[in-house]
Amino acid sequence: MKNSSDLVKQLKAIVGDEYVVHLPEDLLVFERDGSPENEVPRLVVLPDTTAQVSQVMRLAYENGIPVVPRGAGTGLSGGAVPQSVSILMPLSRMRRVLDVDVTNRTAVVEPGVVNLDLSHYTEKYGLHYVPDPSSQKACTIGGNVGENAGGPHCLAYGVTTNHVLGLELVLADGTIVEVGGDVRDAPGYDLTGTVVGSEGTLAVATKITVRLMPLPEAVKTFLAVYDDMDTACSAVTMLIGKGLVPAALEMLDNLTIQAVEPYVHAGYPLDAGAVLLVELDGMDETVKVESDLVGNLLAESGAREVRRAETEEERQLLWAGRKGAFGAFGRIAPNYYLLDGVVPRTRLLEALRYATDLCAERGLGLANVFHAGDGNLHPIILFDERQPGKLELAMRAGGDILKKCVELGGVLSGEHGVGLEKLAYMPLMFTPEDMKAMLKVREAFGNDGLLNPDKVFPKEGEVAEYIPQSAAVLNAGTGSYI
Amino acid sequence: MQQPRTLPTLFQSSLPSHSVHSGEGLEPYRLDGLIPEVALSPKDEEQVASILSICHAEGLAVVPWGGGTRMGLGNAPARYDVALLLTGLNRVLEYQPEDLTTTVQAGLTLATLDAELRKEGQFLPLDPVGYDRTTLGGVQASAASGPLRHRYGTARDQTIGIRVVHADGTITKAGGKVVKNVTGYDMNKLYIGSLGTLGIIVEASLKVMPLPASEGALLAFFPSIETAGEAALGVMGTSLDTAFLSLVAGEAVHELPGGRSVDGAAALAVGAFGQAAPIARVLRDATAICNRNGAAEVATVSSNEVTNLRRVLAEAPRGGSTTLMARLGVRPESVAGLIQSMAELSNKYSFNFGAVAHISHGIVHSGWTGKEGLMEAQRQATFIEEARDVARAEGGYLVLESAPPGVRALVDSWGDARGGQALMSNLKQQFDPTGVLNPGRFVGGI
Repeated sequence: MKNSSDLVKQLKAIVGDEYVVHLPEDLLVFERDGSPENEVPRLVVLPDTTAQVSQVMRLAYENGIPVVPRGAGTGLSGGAVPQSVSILMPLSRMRRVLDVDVTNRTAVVEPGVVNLDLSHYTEKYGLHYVPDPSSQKACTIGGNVGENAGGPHCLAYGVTTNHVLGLELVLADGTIVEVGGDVRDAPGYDLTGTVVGSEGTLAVATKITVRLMPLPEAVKTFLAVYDDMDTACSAVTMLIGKGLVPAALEMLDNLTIQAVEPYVHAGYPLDAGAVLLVELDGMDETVKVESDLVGNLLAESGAREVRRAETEEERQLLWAGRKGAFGAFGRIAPNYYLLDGVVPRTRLLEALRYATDLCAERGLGLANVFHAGDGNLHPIILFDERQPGKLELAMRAGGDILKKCVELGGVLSGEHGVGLEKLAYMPLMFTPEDMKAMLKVREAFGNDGLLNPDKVFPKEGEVAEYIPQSAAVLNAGTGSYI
Repeated sequence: MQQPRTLPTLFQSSLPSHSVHSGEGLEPYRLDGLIPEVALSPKDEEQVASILSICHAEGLAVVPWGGGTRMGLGNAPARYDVALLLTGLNRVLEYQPEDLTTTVQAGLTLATLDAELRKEGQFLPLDPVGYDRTTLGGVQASAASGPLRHRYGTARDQTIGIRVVHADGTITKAGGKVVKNVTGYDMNKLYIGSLGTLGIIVEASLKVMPLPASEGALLAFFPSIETAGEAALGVMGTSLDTAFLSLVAGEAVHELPGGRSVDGAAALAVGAFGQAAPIARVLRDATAICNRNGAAEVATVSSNEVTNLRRVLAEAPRGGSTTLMARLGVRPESVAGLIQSMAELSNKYSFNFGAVAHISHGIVHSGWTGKEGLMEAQRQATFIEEARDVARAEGGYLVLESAPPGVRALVDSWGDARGGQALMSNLKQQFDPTGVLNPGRFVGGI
């Protein structure tokens, strides 16, 4: 449909007048997600029901217009960044918890339900939804499904895919399909598991069946303070090697402490080389036994100090430093580039040293705050893009660090996804044949390029060669890095 | 036209002669009355790839074999030219205990892998039936599981990477070797449970777990399936950290330690892993819940007997002379009712019935035997259809896992796909358009 006013009229007929955004000044706020990428969409449509999603998709499909689904827009890889030709479809109005089945420990939710709201909602039944991305106050379950989101507590309990049992999907052409459900291992391919983490390129999830877990009886949080990163990394390897899999095992380096402590006052020593946050949860008896064990092991691990949170306030404060870290980097530098590479746990130190030396050599700042327990690094390259050449330097350094992660036996992304940001790096990990197999799946789901196009897979021709940085990232506008 | 007698010669250039079996040696690979023209035992993925590219070019149908423990799953193959024996791919490729990960070839048996892991104080929490012979690739292809799925999940939760050989011989990888990864599609999920119809799994990377400090369990015997079910839901409704929670009914009760002397209709097995204090708490609270729900007897299982109990729970409904085996799935709260209905239906047909259910996941493994005169194929098929209707009425399904060929010819192994059959057919079309891999054996004739 070439004529935008006809399109607007038809979309309004589907979702109602006030839920089609088409004025340029209104569209501006939808131009980006949590990544540096941005582009203003042609239109924004906010459906309220599965039927509306289906009708919008069918209309777009019949007229050859791309659709980009969006949750809360907190994604960090550009998965929800629209194109100027596309319809952006936030699912934020679909935010009803449709069912909580206490006996069977499942819930059915709409995609726009905020992650933390679901856990708050089910708290009264003694249940919660476990995966807890740092953005959980804002991000939606639908977005989590798209990205297969992780979070600190995924170390012991698994990521989104381990907690999603079934989906109602709308395919690119508007077809509605139900896959999986609260009855497990039903005959057929695991379509639910295939869709989770497909970054909105296979289908739009309009209902999500999740499993709920009992709230832990007890929680114990430790802060171990180290003079240097090396000792802290060895402590992680030692804890895991001793057969302990804590609920969470997080590390913050000195620069992160410098950024976060003066405003959060979490109690992290400013001169520490690194701190480890270790959380145990579960039955009272388990936490009691494991606390003693972990306390002793941390004391023997070369920590100069080991603290236990004695009250819930103390615990929340320790976590406030971790979860609030990203916002604090503005104190150190005006821009940052956040990476998400993963390495085998025994290669953590090697990866960190590489990143540290590389950034020092190139005059870039580097902070690290990450999920140490599962080897998921978050190197944060700090720079000032007003200085000529720094942005490009930072991007190149990021590419080199990701390359190193892959060389060490790791992967490009642990929880943020490929989106636009890591498109160019896909050939580092996957052969053209590997990617062709994935594209067959996209084909089978009937997405011939209209559902969240140009994400995840580099364009044909770019597949075979490694490109050191994404042109799209380099072109990100002023003020992109918040 | 194909020349059947020359078929083995097709593979002479890609495989040494001792890896090409024909003639008399093919009898063990009979499936639903069909015998392949040739059986091939490759030693590595390159050999698997060259075999498949030949089969692809020649239009041959391939049935992959692991340990052969689950070949009763799935319908009769539409065509069957080549038996592809994967037990020669049996090496541990990488194992770094501190990473809690390992990468192995798919033909390795679970038992062999487990022995390797135990040397380092670790284990793989996958414990399906046939543990001694079953291969890792077989477990993945069939998505088989056992009692520990309650705590640790299934192959889909433990697998972090897979290498597959596609229908045309192309080798690709999915996932990686680290425990957290969202780079590209999660193709592992697609291959797990696909019964080799999309690609042949030749290698897998897995998460492994530290061995628990100790294991504890109790066995409670109940006068009825209903009371056992209530107790099971009672345990499930607490925050007790249980490793397994299995409801046992019918003949399977007699397979349990001490179960022969009990006339109870059902039993509940509750297990816990870890340190002594938490285990004691689980067993204490679970005992109280069982007693509250009218348990006739609650016995503590000594810690060195727990492994054996878990084995029995994995094997019980399928041991010995069982003729029919099925996996049924419903919501956890419908499990006891479903088992009760199965018992009544079995009674009507004068079949002996046993079941072990991993109740928190709603999975019910069932087995049936019967006296000679009662086991006519049509009768068994009718029974399966009736049983399937009962499961459907509870919102569930029945998958036939083993039956005599005469029965399998009369009844579909899978029943309907509950959703997405069109998507599944599209996937098969994309991955194996000419039907090289296990043609006709999967859901909806895939």
